[in-house]
Amino acid sequence: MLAPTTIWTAIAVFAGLGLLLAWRAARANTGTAEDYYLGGRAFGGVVAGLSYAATTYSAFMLVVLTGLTYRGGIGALGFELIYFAGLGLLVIFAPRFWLAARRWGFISPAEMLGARYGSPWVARLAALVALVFLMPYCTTQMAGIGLLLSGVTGGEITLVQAVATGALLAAVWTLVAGIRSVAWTDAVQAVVMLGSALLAILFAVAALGGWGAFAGGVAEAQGERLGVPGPGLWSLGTFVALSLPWFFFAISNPQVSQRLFILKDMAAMRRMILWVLGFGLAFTLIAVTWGFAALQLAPGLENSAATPALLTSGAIPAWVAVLLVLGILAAAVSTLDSIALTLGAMVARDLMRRAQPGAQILAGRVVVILVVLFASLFAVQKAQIVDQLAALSAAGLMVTVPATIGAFFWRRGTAAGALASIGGGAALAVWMAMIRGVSVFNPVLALSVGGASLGLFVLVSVLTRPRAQALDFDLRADLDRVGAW
Amino acid sequence: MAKRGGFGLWLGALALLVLAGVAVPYGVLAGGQGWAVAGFWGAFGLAVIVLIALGIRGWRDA
Repeated sequence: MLAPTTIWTAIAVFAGLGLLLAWRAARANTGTAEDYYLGGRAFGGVVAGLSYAATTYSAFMLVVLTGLTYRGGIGALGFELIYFAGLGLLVIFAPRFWLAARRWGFISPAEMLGARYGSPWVARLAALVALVFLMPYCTTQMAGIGLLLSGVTGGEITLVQAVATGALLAAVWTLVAGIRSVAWTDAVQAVVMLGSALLAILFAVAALGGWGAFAGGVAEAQGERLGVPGPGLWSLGTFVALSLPWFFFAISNPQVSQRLFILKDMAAMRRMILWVLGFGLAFTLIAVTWGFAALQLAPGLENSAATPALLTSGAIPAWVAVLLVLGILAAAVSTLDSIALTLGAMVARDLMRRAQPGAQILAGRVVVILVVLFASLFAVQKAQIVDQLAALSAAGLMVTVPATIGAFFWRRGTAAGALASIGGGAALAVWMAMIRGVSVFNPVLALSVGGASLGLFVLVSVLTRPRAQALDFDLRADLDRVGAW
Repeated sequence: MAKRGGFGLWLGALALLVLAGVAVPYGVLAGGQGWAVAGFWGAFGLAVIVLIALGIRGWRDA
């Protein structure tokens, strides 16, 4: 076990560095909503890329993905790489999001949809769906922090203490300077995440006798886990059920699609994407390797305990284990604060459209506090309904995809079609998963929700007419100017 | 400014790549117990990077 004093000291140093960064970031703020939520649309590619990576790659990677590898084998790698391939959607949509946001001044992705279809109700519904599915997802980040800190200290750091620590860090780093403090702390956290994970895996593999012995040991003792479906978890149905909604993550999850609004130019956009790709592939390979290393160094565990068990197995030096604890804490906090800020922006811009800039910033800050409090309370209470909604988040947020694609590629798409698609799809997702008990591991759920959302969008759009105030996202001339398809 | 070509080809390549990312491990390589599936998915990840890099190669600031 790791000594609680060592963990608390490391967290204190980490928090101090983050506070310094956040305070420095606050000096650049000008007091407008655009500045608070988007940093004046002036971010460079490196900070934006690291922030995007830290936001999208959460504690899920080194806690859940590692556990899925531990339990089911190599299918976890394929699932995460299908998500990774979904970053290809950025080639199509990143320039469109960026150009539209600059031309019409959008701050949240929901606001963009509302303007495109000429209906504030589209924006409100998209914001509401994001709230319903992302707040429980925040709870899982908090729960991850609790599981980790209590696991590596043998329960000496309690769940409540761990959750309170995560909540404090996420809230302060968001409230101080909005996107600037979030993005700057994200960037540092991304470096901590990748660096600590890389170090830890090198020590784990060394403890197993090097890469050759590690590979041989896996093939010999865990050969079944190197194939699909493996021991049973990764059937084709489960693989499709999990991969399909995650493939669309880049355009369905507002906390990452909003990052496309913050860049200063197309060169920064290109650099951001390249950083995310490099980080993503490396981090994915590390997480899966970590799962296989855990199978050899700490066999016979419940999968959710694989990471704490590996960290305390004696194979990883204590200082590396502490660093990795900080890395996982960073992964959770960076995802949590980004989601909280995006939800704050959505409430401020989409539910309080006519408020003054100061009021919109204040409203966003209140929402950030509420989101963090919600996540903390439910992480401690371990409410089943929240766990169900969190598991449903990827499939639930997929309901915005048809309206988002239609916004740029189908002029005939209407506000009624978007409302039916988002509302109907979300209601179906909740009904199937929470009332009928259809598991997120069952492909029928993702296929039904995606199919219904798409079908409703097309059908209702054909039966209705676009609103007079709907914007025409004709960006062709601008796209040609910046060399995008 | 001239319109950039090749989008259809690129999109088709992405679709084929994603399809292969599922079909090859669950078809040709199904049930295998060596490192073939891991190797395939590793190559798949690199191919994704190359394809996306090709897609954003032409971006410029006017």
